[in-house]
Amino acid sequence: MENSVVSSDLDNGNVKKAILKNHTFILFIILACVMIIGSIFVPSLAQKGNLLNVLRLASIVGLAAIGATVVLLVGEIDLSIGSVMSLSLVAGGMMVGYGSVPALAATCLTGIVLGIINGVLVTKLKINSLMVTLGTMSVFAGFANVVTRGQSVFLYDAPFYLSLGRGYIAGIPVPVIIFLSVGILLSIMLKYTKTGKEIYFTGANTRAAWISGINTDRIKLIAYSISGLTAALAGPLLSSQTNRITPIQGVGFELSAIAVAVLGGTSLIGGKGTVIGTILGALTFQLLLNVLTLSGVGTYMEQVLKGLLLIVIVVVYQIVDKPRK
Amino acid sequence: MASDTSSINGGYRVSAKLIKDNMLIIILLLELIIGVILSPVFLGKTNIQSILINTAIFGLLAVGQSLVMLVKEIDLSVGAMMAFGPIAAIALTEKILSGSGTEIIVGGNYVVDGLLLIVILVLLISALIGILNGIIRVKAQVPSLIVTLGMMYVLSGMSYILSGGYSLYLTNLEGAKSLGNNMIAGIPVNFILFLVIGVLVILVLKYTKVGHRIYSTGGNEKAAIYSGINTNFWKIMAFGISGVCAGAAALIYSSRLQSVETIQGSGYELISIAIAVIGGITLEGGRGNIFGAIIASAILCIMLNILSLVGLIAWYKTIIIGLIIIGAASQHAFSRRTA
Amino acid sequence: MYLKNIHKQFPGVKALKGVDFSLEKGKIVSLVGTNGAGKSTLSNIIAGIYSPDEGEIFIEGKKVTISDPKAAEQLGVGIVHQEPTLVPNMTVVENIFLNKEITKNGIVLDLKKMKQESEKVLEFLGFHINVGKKVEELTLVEKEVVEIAKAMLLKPKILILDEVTAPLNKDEVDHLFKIINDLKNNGMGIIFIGHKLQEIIEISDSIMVFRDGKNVGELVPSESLSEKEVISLMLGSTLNEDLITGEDKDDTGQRQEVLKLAGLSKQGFYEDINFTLYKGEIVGFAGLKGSGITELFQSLQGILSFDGGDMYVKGKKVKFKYPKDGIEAGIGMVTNDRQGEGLALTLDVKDNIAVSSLNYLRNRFRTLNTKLLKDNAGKYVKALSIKTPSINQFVQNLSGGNQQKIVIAKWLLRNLDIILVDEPTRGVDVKAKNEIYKLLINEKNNGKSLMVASPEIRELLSICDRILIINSGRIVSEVHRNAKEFKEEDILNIIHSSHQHYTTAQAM
Repeated sequence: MENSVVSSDLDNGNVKKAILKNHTFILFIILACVMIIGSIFVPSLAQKGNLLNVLRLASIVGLAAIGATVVLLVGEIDLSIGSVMSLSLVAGGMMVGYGSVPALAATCLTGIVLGIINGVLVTKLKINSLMVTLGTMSVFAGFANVVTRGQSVFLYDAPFYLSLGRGYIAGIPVPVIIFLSVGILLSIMLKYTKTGKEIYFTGANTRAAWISGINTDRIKLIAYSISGLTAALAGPLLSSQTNRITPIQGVGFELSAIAVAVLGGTSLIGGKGTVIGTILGALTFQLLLNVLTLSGVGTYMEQVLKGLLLIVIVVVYQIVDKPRK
Repeated sequence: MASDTSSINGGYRVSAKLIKDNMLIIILLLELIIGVILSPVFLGKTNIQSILINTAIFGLLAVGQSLVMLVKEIDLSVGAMMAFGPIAAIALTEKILSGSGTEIIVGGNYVVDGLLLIVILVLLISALIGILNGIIRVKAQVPSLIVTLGMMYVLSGMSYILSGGYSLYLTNLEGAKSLGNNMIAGIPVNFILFLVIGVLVILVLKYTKVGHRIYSTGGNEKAAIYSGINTNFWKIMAFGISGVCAGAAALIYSSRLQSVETIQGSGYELISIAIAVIGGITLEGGRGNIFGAIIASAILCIMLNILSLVGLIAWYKTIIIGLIIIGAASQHAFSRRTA
Repeated sequence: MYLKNIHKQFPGVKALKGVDFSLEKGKIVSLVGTNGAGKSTLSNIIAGIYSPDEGEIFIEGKKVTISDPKAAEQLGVGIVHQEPTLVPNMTVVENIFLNKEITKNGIVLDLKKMKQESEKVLEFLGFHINVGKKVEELTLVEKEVVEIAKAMLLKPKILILDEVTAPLNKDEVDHLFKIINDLKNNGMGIIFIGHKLQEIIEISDSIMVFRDGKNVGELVPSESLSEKEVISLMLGSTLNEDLITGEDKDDTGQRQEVLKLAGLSKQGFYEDINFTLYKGEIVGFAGLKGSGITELFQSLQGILSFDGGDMYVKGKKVKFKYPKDGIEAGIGMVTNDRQGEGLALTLDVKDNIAVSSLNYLRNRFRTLNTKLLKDNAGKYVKALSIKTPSINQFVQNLSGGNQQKIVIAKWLLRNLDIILVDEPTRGVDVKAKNEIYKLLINEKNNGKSLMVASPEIRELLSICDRILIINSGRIVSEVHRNAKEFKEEDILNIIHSSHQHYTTAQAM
């Protein structure tokens, strides 16, 4: 008798508690607080132009973070996101003479191929993904420089390419539209498709997933391809804002992307996290940086708070996740 | 021994094992031979000295990183610590000394006084940050990847805030260049220091209880706890030592260049992990040894040197380092599966 | 030593409900009981791994609190744990002396002395092991010996041996028992935990029987004490007698063959298995730990490969490469490690049930039909009476029995014909046990074929149509429901009597 207490244990009160413990919910509250407190002290925060700019910047790191989220969901990690971004940008840069569309196609294709390379190394060589992607991070970054001999590619003749980062559709910045479309698409994929369910199951328990008939290698390969693609998509949004493609454009992005994903409630152990959380994470991340910039704390303080925010919020998640007797 | 000739089969097995066990040393020797063949200046005095100094810097970081990896953790903050340690120490020294006396410690961008205190503070600050990493890791149960990633951001941001992004020059600081540039019998004094530290760590791990604590914490944490070992303490210790190593590496680096740069050491965390992996230390903890990491740091530095000598630009080096990481990691994974 | 009214609660389970226990110098007390009865919890409390929620511990008349393993050690308690507690990459000496190192001057390790001491302990145990070898290079038996040596090192007053005989063969067990008796005669108090009742009766001065976190009786071994008496006390009257179907399907002519194994072998695990499974029957597999049944089951779904013989499903020769292939051929395994191999604990009930059937739960846009998924998951939650507040509940919040039902539901939803169940009621409470039995029998009546392995013979007797007895990877006997040997005692006898093969299975 005593052993079947579980069912009675979970009444409505506990459901409410469960919501309070939801990572996405916690993050949403934090986001709202940053927004409200921020606009009280820094009135310029709430201006439309500023908010659109925040959204635009959040979209770039957010896109890369979505890919990082999917890889974390299958229980692996991708440290090569920044380098994939650089190399796929550079690949596009070589095609930019043929027009914007070939350039973008080359960028996306390169991203997917590099993602597949990561996935194959992780699943076939069975090496720890931290090591694999640490290695490919170095290799891809090297190639990006070798291919361009370290030079930048300027984008003045590619209006369509430039419009990706700078344009608006119905008053909304194009990066935001791309970010949200990719986010919604992947959310639907994760929630409403077989592959999505299998991604979660693989991350939550790879061995059980395999025994349940899931081709876990294939699922990991898909996750890395998605990460490659989103990293590649984020690239043009960034380079079109600076008017040029440089071979070091993606440096450091992998860590920001992972930080945003973790901020959004994605677990490093796998099987836990949502794209919505990551989107909120990106917004919180960028909004906080914006508040700091506007309030004149100084650009470098941003870096510090980025690190603190990451540690503190993961500690909070740990605390709420801790099972109580 | 004599058995090589007695039986071909047995001899083959013996030599195969010999090669496998001494793989790193064989690679090191091969590299030396290749270096001599490819470049006439390879054996030149200054070239060898520069290799040794680089080995000392990367080797120190790798020794610290190896200890952290032996207890099944990872430290991404060592690179950022290399800048933050000296910058914070100089700032603090200025506060302390200018408060007590009239001396000028930092004039313009030149550090002019307070060397001893700076050195002590660099090591102290680095150790404390390492310990802080460890405490957050074990007390808040946050994965070390996240703790040290966050710490890396915090430290590099703080470095910028404290330095304003400007370099600090040590050219007017008496004695500051000795650690990075002095030689004893033609051997860089910092390399000797590195060897002393390396040998000390090896001896401590082998001949004191510490080694058993570290290896059991990483090798089978549950077993260690069942034996009454405070595994949390040893994890914190490993992070602390990694911090000290990063501080020492920063001292050599700054002394050599006679300046403190805000971006010095950035990216070195990854190189230190790469060296540890080449040296046979794995992410699963409790495996590999410090000797391997020391040899591996020499291997990496010699390789980078040869690549420079034959005129390969830095970008190719990046590619080659990456390939080596993947190669070394897959070699370990493979040998474990076949064992 | 004396323990009084010990209580211990784990999240979701009351592991000990007021246990009294005493041990005298120079005595061997055995703890027996089914899995989850509380034996290991009690020994872990004495060893300082867990602390009791309630109750008192006295050693040599003094009240003590054992806060951690080191404290237990200082009080003279040594323990050999059921699970391995050796560090694979360290040497034998280093493991034996872990956290008990001898130093020359407080700092430098006395490697020579430690080497001698460990050789001495191993010598005493009668084994010659190169103490400089790394533990990962040792055989299973040698590892066990090192575990014992580790516990023996400080010459404890109380020694706890938790399932130490599992990997040992008969000779080694005899040898170990000789040592244990020596220790006992030297005044050591020994707590012995085990499953092999014959051994227990042979070695103990008294036997404490545990059931559901309580000690239900104490037996004193004598000539007349049979294993059966111990077993009946262990099990109590927990089995619902109605369950026993009693029917026998002997109409061989009409029986439809679903699975046939011809000389199936996997080196080191099982050998020359010839067996036919028919539609609508439950076949039990009885054998000791390590007899190869788990690996056989794994091979049948493609989790493990086999390297000899043939396998036919409904007359068609098959060889599976991946677990997926087995599922597609209609075979699924409920593994004995449901948390490690069966479930994603951090996901919810419906996803865990549906995971293998997602192909059939899609709409015409190839996205999932959420309603169909929920309906189906709900259907099985109801049919199997899985106790959960909703199908959206995380599986980690459910009890063991309900978790087990979810693993079974996963294969039922996939509509598999053959279900292999390895230890269906491991860590499951009594009430849920009966429900799982009913569930398995029900599926059999629905025309499914089941293979069930269990260390609890009573369990097999109550649900199976016939029982195969496996020893050292070989089928040694088959007992039908209508045979007169279809009794716990007889089956246990067959299992225990055919020990001679054991050594061959060890030599991998």
